[in-house]
Amino acid sequence: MSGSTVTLNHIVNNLRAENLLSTEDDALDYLENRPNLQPWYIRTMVGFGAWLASLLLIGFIASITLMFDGGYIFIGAALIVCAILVRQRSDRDFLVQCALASSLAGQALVAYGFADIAGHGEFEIFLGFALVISSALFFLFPDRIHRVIMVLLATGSLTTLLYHWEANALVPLLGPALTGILIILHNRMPTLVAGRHSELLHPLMSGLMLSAFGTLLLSTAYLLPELEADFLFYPRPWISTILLGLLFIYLGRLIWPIVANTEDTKSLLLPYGIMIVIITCAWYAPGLLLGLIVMLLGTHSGRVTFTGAGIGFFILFLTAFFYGIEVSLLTKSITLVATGITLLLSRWIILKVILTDERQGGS
Amino acid sequence: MHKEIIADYANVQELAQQLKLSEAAYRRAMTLAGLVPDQTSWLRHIDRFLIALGALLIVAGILAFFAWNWADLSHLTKFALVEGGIVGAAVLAWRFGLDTIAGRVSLLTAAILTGTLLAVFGQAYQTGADPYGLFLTWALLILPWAIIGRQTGIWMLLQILLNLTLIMYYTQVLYPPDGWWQLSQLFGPLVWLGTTVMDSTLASYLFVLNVIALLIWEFGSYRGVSWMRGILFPRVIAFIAFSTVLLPTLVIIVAAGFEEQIRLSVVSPTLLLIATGAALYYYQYRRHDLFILTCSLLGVIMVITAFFIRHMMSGSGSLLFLALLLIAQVASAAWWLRQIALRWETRS
Repeated sequence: MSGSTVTLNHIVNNLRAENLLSTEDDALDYLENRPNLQPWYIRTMVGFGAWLASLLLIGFIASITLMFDGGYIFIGAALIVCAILVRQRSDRDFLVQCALASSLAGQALVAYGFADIAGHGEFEIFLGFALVISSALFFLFPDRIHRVIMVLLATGSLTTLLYHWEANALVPLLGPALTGILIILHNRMPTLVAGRHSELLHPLMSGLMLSAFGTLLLSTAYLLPELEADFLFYPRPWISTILLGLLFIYLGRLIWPIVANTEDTKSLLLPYGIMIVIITCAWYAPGLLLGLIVMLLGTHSGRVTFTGAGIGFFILFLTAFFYGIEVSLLTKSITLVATGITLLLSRWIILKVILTDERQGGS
Repeated sequence: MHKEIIADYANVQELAQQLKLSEAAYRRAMTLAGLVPDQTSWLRHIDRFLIALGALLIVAGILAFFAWNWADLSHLTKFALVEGGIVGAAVLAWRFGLDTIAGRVSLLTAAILTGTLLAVFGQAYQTGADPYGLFLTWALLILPWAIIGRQTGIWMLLQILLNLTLIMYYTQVLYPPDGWWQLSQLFGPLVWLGTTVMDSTLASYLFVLNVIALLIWEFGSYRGVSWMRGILFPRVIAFIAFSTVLLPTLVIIVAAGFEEQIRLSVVSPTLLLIATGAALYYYQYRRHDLFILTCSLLGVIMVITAFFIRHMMSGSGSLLFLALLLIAQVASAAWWLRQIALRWETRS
């Protein structure tokens, strides 16, 4: 399997030959005038630029004395509306950038304006509003980068709200919940793409993946006991391990029937058993499971950015886990070595035992 | 004549969206593009991922174990454990072969464990040697493996060790840190490493070290050395080289007057200017790499923005100006990069 040598022309020709294209002229026209897609690092640069520009815009507007109540809300809302209108009508780089920055600045101003008027519990209102407005703008603002930022903003606001409400116990559920939604979307991708939801689907999946990463990284964060003895950033990380473990096992159905070339439950007990051992070994380090899940999803859909992100997060989590102080170095050592040995044994079992069984069955 | 566009994930998704493919057509397109893995493909991925991740976790676990410094464990046992690991990994590399994924991972594991052995040696005998000695010795010891191994991983490790050696030698022997520099150590080793390159002289040395590595790699790639054709090493090294001169340049622009540090101020901005010009030429015309071009442009954007922040910040109007300036720069960069990509596509 390699996507490197196949071209879009080849695919279109095959689809035409198999009568799977409704309008052939559109296909030919698309191949002739196809826009050039930007790779992830250019999109990251654009997103970073928009975010920074929005901060400067906020600073500019905040520095102007607003002489009437609700001034920030009014200007913020105007910025958002203008940004949406501009983005709907233009694909020019400068206008796209302006629209992104204006929208982000507008959201911050509206949220601040509401909190300012409310007068009490400002932080809660600010976050609640950010959650609502980012969810709404995810649908309204037709831009991929903006949509990813909106998902991050929404999940970030939700996580901060949980801490604000002192509902820390729910934080370990958040990462697995986001990952669960990601897996549902992954499974329903062909239906959603065919249902013309592609524009929403891809940024939503990217945003959910990044949000899950961020949430799981919280499990490695710590406060020095001398500073805040009662506060727990991420209580009971094993809850995340169990939930992510269940998702990991669920994903086994994507691989094992293909790898073992059988649907027979008995034959698949061994690979599922291996997965359970991996989950047990990674008890203190749920991020390792998330890294594996994202790698699995990336490989299953041929999405190299997901596979790369999974590997990157795996290493990042490992580094953060190494520096955390919640678990002793000896426990970390046992966790890491045990998980590592299990992965190597899994490889050996899969490549030797399962394939040998298959060969014997074939002969 | 239609353009020949590679059917990768992003392009197939775009095709499906633009042509409003049905569910069946979408599934068929993904299969035709080779994006749906079959048994062989899954096995290849399992082979690569599990061995690489497994070895990584075991090495990290061994590091954590020796960092824990179990007092009840005798020196001899500790040495036996690490040396056994090194010999075992080296034997596995030999048995699997240096061109297989298992052999490569085994050799890299042996190279990393060599550093653990040196750390345990220092721990056991309290040698009192400067840390730069550890990194330098480690680099020298793994050099033969890097030469015979012909793999990016060990060369990357070697390059990181040389960078650390230089930083440690400069900051612990030549110019021990004082003032706020020491405070940065409180935020952990990564933050501290980041702050060290704000010293323009050290940053320049690091820049030269990384540029030499990059030039050697590009030369090897140009001469057709197969294992030097990957994009990861040049991208990472180019990124590090840019960062080493970009950070002090920004500090000089924003925090210090040119007249205050005349000797230091000239070096980093000059090197940054040369590096940007060279990268924009080489990676545009000689070896196509949009990532390094993006890094170069990002550096230019940051410098121009920092310059205006330093010299034009007065009144609220300047914030609006800066926002528009930033938007204009990023939009121009994105547009230019798209034109470059289109030009490459047309020529190929």
